[in-house]
Amino acid sequence: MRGVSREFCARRKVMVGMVGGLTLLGAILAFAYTTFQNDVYGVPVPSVWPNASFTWVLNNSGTPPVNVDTTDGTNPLPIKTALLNSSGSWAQASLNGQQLTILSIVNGSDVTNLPNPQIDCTNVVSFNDNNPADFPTGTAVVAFTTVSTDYYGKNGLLGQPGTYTFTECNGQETITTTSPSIVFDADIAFNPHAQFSTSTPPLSNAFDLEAVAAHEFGHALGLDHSGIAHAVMFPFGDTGESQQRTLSSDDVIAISFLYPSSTFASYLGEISGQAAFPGIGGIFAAHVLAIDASTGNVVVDTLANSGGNYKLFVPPGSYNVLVLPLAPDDNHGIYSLSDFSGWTCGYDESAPPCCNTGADQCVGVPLVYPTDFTGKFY
Amino acid sequence: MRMRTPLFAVSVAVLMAASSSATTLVRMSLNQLAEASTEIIRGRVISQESRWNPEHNRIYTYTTLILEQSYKGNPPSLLVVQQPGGRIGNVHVFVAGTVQFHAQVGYVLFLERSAGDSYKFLLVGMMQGACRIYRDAKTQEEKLVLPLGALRRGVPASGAGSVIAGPAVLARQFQRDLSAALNSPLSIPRGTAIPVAIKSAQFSSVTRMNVKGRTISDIFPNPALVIPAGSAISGRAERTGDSWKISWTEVSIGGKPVLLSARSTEAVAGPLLGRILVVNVR
Repeated sequence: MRGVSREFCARRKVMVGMVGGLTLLGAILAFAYTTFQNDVYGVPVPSVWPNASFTWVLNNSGTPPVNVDTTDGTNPLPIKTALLNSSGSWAQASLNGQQLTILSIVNGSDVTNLPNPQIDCTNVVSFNDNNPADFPTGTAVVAFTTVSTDYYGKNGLLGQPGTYTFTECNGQETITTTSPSIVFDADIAFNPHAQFSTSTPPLSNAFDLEAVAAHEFGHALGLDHSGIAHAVMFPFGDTGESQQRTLSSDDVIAISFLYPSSTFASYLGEISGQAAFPGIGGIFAAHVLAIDASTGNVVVDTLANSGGNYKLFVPPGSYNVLVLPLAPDDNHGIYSLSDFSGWTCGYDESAPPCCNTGADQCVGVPLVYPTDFTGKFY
Repeated sequence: MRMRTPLFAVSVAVLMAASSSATTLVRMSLNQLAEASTEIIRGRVISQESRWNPEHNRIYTYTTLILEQSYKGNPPSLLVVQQPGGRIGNVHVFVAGTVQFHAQVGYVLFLERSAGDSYKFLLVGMMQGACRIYRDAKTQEEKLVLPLGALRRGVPASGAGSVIAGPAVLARQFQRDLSAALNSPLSIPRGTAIPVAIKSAQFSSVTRMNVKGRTISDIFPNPALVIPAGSAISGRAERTGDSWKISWTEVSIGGKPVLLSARSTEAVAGPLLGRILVVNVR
């Protein structure tokens, strides 16, 4: 997709282009989805767990967290069971019955003395973080995950072709793997001031533990936020809402991109192109979505790279491609990947699908309640 | 794992508006951001550094800004904003939702003083608390990039003027809206349930006590209001038969006293101090 103009985008709220043909998976992407990437000798490389294996433990202080209701509602689960469901959903990620990832997730023995996130090569889930800087009161952080990565690109060192060795946590672990950028520690902390529920459906005024945990496990596995409103990795949900327990196709493809099974390359095709303003060039960090042409469901999204180029992996089918230039004006360089500012353009109930900032305002037809998890864009 | 204290049963009754939403974050309105902030400033980034903590097991990034304008609080002329994560050498710690500040760029920031170090500030609502300032290349006007594309200004959430359109907005318009948010009176909606821990109870007579407490959960009763956990709440208790009738009269939200009309009833047996209860706003 080339030469998507702002005017075109603003007038036609959804249809930016039609890409029906699929190509087979090509070379490894330098940039896809929103993952935690490191600069490996000038190439952004997603960070992954070595050997596609992730082990987490629960910090069990001996006293059940008082902000997690495991008794009320319908079929409330013990905390550990809810967490196992959440983590397991990533390992079992499949699309149309196709298992697309080889990810292995293991729950290890509980620990008792690691309430706060720290880089120690132990991946802890905690409900009693007592660091006041982690959860300032009234500031809306329900849970967060710290993801520690390491990568090649230092001191001119190069691993053996296809083999990289890392030493982490003061020599505690030596890792040999095939990726030059790895995750070696990830800790999840739930806000002790927020209320969680493990029942189905969750209690109306509490956050669904499984849904929040699924989101945080996604981070722990190497995924950043998604711009698709019904995806688990979308950063907002609702109290009393459990929809985000279930992986969307975007989540499945993203995790499978990081930890692909042998089926991944043969089952998925690729849509690629460039999003650009005429006369200006590629749109850095444009939000690009593949929409199933027959159902209107958003299947997968990504952000364009600095040249406006993008690639999307999709299952067989016909797709429309929607490009949302997130930058508010022609000064597209004001954004970095970390900002994502304005990415709700097209999702927020008040924001039109695209912004014509030449007129200093957003124009177009607002989507009606697009964050109601329908995933439909027309 | 089963809950062993009544705290959750108390807290789950807390009213949270449907628009208070989150997986990682609760989505905050401009009013809520303004209330939750101890300081709101406009500043320019002059330096940024990532450092290990003293225990050498966490990395934080410290961004120093020079103060250009203060909208709330008493900020120093140089502010340091602390965020989790950062990169030291080839160890790169990611925390989704943090802000990547840019050198020499201006921001409007919603800040809270760190409980551990009052000289350092934390962003309210992580990325929600930082609006980048830039100058429109065509009009030369200053604009702000709104982190979430749009900000609700208050109740009602719909209708003209209730939402600042995004993702960018003129800086002068934003300042007007911020000023309106800061000056808007706070009122706690009827039906709001506030979980409270009683921190002091002192007799003023044989049958009366002055009672003070702290809220124990973040509460977002509507898009215009947040009552942070730890907010001071006060009232008077009067003994009637075998119970204390407590009339709650004031809660302090972000240092701003807000009148309250709420009642709760507690058994006389045993001290009030330390009890956890729900305050229901009438």
